[in-house]
Amino acid sequence: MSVIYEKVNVCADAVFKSVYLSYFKLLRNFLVFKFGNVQRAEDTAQNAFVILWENCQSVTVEKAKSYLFTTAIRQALNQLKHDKVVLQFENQFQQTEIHMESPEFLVLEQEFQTKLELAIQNLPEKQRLVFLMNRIENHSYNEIAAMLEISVKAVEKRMHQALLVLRKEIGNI
Amino acid sequence: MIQKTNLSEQYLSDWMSDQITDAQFQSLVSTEDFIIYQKIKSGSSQLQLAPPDMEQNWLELSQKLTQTQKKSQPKVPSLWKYVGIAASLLLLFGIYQFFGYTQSAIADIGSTKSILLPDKSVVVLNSQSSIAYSKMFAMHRKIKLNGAAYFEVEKGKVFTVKTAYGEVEVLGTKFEVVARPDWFEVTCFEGKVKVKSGKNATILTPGKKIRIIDSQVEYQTETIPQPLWITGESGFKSVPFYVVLHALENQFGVQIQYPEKYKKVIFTGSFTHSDLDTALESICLPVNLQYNIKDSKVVLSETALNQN
Repeated sequence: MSVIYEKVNVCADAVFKSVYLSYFKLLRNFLVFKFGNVQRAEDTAQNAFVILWENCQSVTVEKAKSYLFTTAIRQALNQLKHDKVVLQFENQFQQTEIHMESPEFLVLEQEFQTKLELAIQNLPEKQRLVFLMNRIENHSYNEIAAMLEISVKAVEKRMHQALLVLRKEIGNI
Repeated sequence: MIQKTNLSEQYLSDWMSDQITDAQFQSLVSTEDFIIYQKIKSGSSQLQLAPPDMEQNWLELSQKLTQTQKKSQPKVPSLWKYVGIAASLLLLFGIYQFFGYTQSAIADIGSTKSILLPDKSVVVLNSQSSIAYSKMFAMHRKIKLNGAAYFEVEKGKVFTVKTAYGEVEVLGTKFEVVARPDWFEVTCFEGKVKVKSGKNATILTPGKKIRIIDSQVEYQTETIPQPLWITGESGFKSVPFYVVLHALENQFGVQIQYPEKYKKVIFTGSFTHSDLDTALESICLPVNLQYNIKDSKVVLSETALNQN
């Protein structure tokens, strides 16, 4: 669903719903990468929409996206540091792919994947955000730099750091 | 474990985005590292983030929305807002109490009134005149005058008399201010008096008088030691006749009708405050008018002598 009336504020139910349909997934995924936690991401994303609703008079459709992201990030900073919960990625493709492998290999692969997910989970927030935006959403470094409003060099550095940390966390097999 | 290299701090990210080949990358790290990095690369490429359940999230969001209100809708104003308003009103009231012109004195028709101000200065109000000043007068000597008054100011800070025409400033002196609707006059009897009207300022020395009638500024000299009305008389020196008649009206609370052509006749003389008949006689005689008193109305008319 695309949003047409850019200068209109988001108070009307239909407009608000269309903003929800346009940006909820984007915001939620971003927050998942940021927090490494789906539950918390969805909760924060919902709260951002609540605040958007409260201030709907002063926010136009064209400003809604950046308003949501700014609000969500500010909310996240205000929140207490939650206990980290294991990532809840669903590795559908992995399951179909390794279906044909031997049971022993399958177990080893499973083990590695779990280790990897835990290590990603434990990455510093900035590194995890860059790493997952690249690995899951396949954004290029340029795109990530533009979205986070940082330099490409900084994105590359965070990616590099993230890999060093993951390598260290996973250790030797 | 991790091999520190002299190369740039981004070879891992370059390799991740296929900017350098596996072969190039292999030359930078150990075989063991290479294997694990490859596993990280392929393992993380399999990571999938399940899309959010849009329906479920919408339901949860709607739930939260029912508990909140749009900011635009009327809501209960916060207590602090009221406290703020109340505090500022109280403050304004307090300022008004201290610095506003809350103290006042009025002299009624036909009487004069002496007032001792908090700074020991004396004001004598002429008939139908009033003053107002603040409770903080001793600190801030400013007084509003409507009508005519004689001042004997104690030495101290600047003493200001505000009138509709302008301000009169002194330090400590004796002077008279007349601020009637048609007539503004300041006479200095002792010390120095500064008169400010609009952008103009004049300093009067003892015996000097400034008079503004119909925007015409006149300077005169005065020989008497204090206004005549203090001793129960009103004295005039070269003033238009209607000014004299207004003063008389104020003094006795009467209305005076007079032939129009006498309005601008220049008059010098005085009238007593004790008796209307005597007062009328003393102003009518010099200009050859006769008077008739009906209740509180006085009609002045030309004498037969004058008509011929």
